[in-house]
Amino acid sequence: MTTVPGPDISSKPARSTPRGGIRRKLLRSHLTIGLIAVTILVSGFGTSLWIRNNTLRTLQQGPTADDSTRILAGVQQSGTALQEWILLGDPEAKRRRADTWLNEIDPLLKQLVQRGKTRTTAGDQNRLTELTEVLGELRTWQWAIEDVAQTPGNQPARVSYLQVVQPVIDLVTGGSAAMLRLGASAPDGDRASLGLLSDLRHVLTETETALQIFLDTGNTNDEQRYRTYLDQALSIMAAIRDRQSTLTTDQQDLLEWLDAELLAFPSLVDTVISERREPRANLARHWLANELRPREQLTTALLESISTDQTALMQHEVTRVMSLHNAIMAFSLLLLVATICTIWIVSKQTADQLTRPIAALATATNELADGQLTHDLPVTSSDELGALTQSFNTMRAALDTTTDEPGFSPERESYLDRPRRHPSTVTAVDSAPKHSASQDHTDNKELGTLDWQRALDSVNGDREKLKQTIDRYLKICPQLREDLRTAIAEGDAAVVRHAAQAIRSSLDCFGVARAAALAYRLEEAGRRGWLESAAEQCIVLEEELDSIEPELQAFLAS
Amino acid sequence: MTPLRLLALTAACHIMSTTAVAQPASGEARGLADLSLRLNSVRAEVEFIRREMGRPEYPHFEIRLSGATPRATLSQALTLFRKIDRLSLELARRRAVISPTVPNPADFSHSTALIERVLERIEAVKVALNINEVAPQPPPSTPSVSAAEALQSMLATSRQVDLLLDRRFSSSDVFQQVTLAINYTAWLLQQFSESEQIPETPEFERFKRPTDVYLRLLTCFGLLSDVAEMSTLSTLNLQDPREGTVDSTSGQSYDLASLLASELAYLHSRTTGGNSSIEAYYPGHKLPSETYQRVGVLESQLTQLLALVATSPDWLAPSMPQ
Repeated sequence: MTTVPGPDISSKPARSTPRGGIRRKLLRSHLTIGLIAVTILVSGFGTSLWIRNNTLRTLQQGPTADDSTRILAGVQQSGTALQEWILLGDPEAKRRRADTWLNEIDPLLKQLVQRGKTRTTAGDQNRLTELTEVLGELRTWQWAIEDVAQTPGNQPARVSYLQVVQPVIDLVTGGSAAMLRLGASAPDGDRASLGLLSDLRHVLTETETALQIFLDTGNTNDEQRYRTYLDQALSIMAAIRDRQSTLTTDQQDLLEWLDAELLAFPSLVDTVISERREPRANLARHWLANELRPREQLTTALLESISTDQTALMQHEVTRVMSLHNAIMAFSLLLLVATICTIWIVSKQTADQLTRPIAALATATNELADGQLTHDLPVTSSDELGALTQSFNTMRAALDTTTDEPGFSPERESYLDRPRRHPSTVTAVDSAPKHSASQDHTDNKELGTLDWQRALDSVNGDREKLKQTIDRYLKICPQLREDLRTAIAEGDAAVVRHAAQAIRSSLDCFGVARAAALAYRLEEAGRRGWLESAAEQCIVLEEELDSIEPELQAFLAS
Repeated sequence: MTPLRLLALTAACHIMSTTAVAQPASGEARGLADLSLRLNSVRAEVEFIRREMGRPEYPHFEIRLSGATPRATLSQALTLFRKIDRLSLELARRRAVISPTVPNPADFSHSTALIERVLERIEAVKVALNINEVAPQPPPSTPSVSAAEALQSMLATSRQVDLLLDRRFSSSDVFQQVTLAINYTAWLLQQFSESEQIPETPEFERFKRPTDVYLRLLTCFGLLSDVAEMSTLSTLNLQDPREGTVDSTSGQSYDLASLLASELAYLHSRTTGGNSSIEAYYPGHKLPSETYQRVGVLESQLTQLLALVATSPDWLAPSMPQ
């Protein structure tokens, strides 16, 4: 008999079973899957944070644009209140302007500047700085305009008129009135001179009125009217001067004084007229047009620019966040698919690695049971499964050694000699004993001979016990043989197996190797359900049983 | 210029030239000497007119001055011109068609030129008063005159002229100059983003006198001097030893307010983006209490400016000739 060389267990040192290999593999497998899951979670968390920051930044730009719009509205409100103050002199408008700056523009500007500190672009910072400066200038100019608007100084020409011209007019009018009184009181007063003085007073009043109208309107026609009346007044004064000799001494003194005043009058009025013609004739309006409006326009432009930019930036951010969100969604789906695939591959590989040696061991165990395993299983790992495989190989080698030993039981030898793996092979082997029995009867007899020594050894040399065993066998054997035949005829493999096994057990005790081997074949045939040649085997077995039965009867009778 | 004036000036120039030969002077000293000479004439003529008009003499006072600059003398020359112009209008019915402008940088020759125009106004007044004589010129008190002395002379003359006027410089005129100063300071505060350019108007206090206004203006001057000192600028330092002991007039306050506005205008010219459109305007009739209240705004501004300049002393544009 040939056996595959097995490991020499006697020469091998005792091995300790590896610990933790499978645990490590399982742990690694689970950790790998867990790590993938954590990676996905961290990616998701990071992406969420990123989107959150972008959204917050976008939300910040919203209020900035809103602040710009509100500041602009505040500037317009303060401008409107200032206009009301200029036109109507309403103190409520003045208070409203101050409140607009205090409660709206200033806090909003501070807020805007505060938010602007988080911006990094130099352009934004420069615009905010420029806006702060322009708003400061705007406020100062608004205050100056408000301060001057309702003062006499708002119209420098009118101030000059009141301070310079009006006193002269009052003096001339008063002087002419005094002359009239003096003339009227003089008994020989010149009536013509009195008429001229009266005319002078009238013309002076008209001159004053025309001048005041001109100061109001700045109209050239009104100025022309003034000049016409002035010429008339100077003509009348010249006429009075011509009649100087008809006047009293007091009147002459007054006339000289009046003449000097009236001579100075045109040059004084000319300075007033030139002031009225200047663009600064109304300071509030002049500053409003030349100082305030450009700054208001600049403020509007800056605020609109900031607002537009912030809105555009916000739109851009929204679009960016949306496209990013879409990309993240797609990426997440991809990641999900990739994760599923990765987890499946990792799990499968790990499961294969773990189960392959176990499956190989299971197959090998079956083959060993069938007596078909003639080689060692490869040891592919150093873990518990590797140790198990190693132990299995050792066990198989030990079994091989046992079969090689002298006195090995015939049925085992028969088992080792049996054709393997296919029923046809088994059939071929089964037919061999039958053929051999007909050809060499001597050998069969020899095989059928009881080995009484072995039989006695099986009962520890107790002949009585052996007799009882033989007696019991002889009583149940006919029934077992009947059952065997019936079962073979009916194809009942289980009963065949059981009956054959029962017969084999007894024959093993009696040391009848041939018969026991035949019974074993039938038992195996029953176990595997291969009953095609069972009937023939049964006949051979019964022949064997018939041949030993007399000998058993004789031993019983002894 | 009348022949009498020319004669007086020729004589004065002769004296000056002899002094110059004896002691060669620099351009600035020569300009200052010219100015001093003409100021002497103005003082003499004003005194002559005062006596002619029978008006009271302004009591002598010694105001403590230091750091007088051509800019300050020019400013005070302008104030003197305004007062003389008003006197000319009252007596001669003649006034300046175009107000003098203040050049920047200023030197003593600008002040001298302005004093020449003052002398022209005085001539008109003398004609109106039928004064034909030339006022006797006082001899130069010292061989060389300092800018502080010239300024002091102008201040004294200005106060005397105020007493000659029928319509004296009043609280309204002070209010006008203070408002101008407020506007300049607002633009100075504009240099600091965290500033409040126009602070809240302080509470109105009744029964204030011109003296109260004067004292508050002195306080403002002190604050401005501190600002200038922190900014390493030379500016006028002014102290009135009579402070609080003698009643001051609105005319004196006007002089002080004009100087203040002038110094602030100078600082304003040193800032970036200085605005030249700032001008004074007549506010109408104002009580001393109203003017006092307005000086309170200026004081608040200057206090704020001082605090801000303390944090950044290099707030002005690079140095220019003063």
